[in-house]
Amino acid sequence: MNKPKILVVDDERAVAFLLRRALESAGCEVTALADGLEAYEHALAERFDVILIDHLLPGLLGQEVVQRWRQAGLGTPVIIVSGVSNEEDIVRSLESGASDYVRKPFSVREIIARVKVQIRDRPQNG
Amino acid sequence: MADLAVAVLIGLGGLVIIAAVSLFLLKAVSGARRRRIGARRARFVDLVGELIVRGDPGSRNFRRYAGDPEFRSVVLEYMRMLQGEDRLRLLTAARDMGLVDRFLKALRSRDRDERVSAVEALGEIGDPTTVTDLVFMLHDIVPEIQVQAAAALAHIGDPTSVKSLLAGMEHQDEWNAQRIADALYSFGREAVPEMARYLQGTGRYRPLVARTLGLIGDIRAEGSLIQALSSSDADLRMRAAAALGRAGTPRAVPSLLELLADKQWEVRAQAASALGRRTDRQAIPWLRRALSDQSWWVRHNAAAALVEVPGGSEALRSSLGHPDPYARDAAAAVLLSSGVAGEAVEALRSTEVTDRLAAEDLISSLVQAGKAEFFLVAGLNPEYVDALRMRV
Repeated sequence: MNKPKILVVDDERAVAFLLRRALESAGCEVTALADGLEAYEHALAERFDVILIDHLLPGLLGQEVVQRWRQAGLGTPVIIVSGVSNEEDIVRSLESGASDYVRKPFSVREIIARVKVQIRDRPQNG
Repeated sequence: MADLAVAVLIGLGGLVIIAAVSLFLLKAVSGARRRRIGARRARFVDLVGELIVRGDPGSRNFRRYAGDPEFRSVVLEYMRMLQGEDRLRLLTAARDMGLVDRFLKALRSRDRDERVSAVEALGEIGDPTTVTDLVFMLHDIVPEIQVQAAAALAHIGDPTSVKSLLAGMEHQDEWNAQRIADALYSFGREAVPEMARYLQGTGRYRPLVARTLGLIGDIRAEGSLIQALSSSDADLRMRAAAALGRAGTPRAVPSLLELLADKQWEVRAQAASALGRRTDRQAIPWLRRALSDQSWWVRHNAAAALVEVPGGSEALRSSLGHPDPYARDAAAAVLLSSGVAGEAVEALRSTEVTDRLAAEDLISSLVQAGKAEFFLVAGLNPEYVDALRMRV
């Protein structure tokens, strides 16, 4: 069975490193990027099973990237990981097309569990 | 002369060249330094991140980095990022690495900035074993450090430190005392018993503590807050009344009713508001009487409170016929601002005759109380409004 492919987008090196290593330990293949615009193009060019994206990114905001992916027809589940955790922001993120929202500070185990849920629930023909 | 000018020009040119070279070297050196720090930081990010992922107990090997400010900053960055078991694991590692000991040692530094950073860092690390040391910092000679220590203690959340925080408040100015009160608020319910005890004493900042208790909203403080209503300190009576409005039970109502006769108008106004929040019907006749208070605020708060109490709106409507014009005005103003008058305008279109008549009665009373403008703006016919003005 192929390893699930995960795209991690975060400009904070520590967050990106931790998520990458934790997901690799959980048996995933991980690509880490730091820029919203680059992530937008990368996800359209390469197939991923789940995308984890920070909200406050240089280039484009996480929400904007998700919105553009959806407009471009990309159906990959996206989890927004954000330090901005007011109700308004969470609702707007989910409305922009994100599948889930995780607040910082986070638990690595919880994030891995949420990624697994997205992989499990994703339609096989999707 | 010409030789002199050439010499000056050469000299100046030399100086410019020396300045440019110096600038270039300075830039190159600081750039190299930044790159070195960046590379070191990146290495620490990887090392500590790896440690978190692997849950490696071998963190003692990192002791050699504990003195490096970049390493400490990376550990704190991960601390801020994590919660749950990962955070606990990192906390254990931070102890093993000797980081906690280093920050504790820095608390004794003569350098103010070092002490500030150490208190901040210990707050972020949140190690319960550092509570005693942080309590000690509540007595630092620098007020900023005392306040920072309070915030750190709140972050750790050990309720045994609440008593020390309250004691530490006493010698602060109001600004810093407020920040310590913010820290007490962060403790939430855990801090309530000790804060309630403080309220029964003679502490300088009892009004601030009463306010914080109201914000926390735990009824265990009710007894102390009720007791505070009979204090000789008007500020405390006012804050305690407000707190009971937020966090009281029917038990507080009789004391709040008595407070409507307080000699200070601020206290009476706060008591009226608190009674509105308690929504107890027995307050209606008392609030109605308060509509004739000599203070505008008390009259206004009493009217606003009546809208909140079940059955109070009717009392407010009947107050439009009050013999005191000030009471009539307070009732009318609140009936307009609370939406009751707007509902009456809507009710004019009701299919039920009784609803239309009741609405017309209310509008007529409000127009006669001088509030015709509201209904004209709401779109009622001026001739109709005039007719209501004349109605007996």
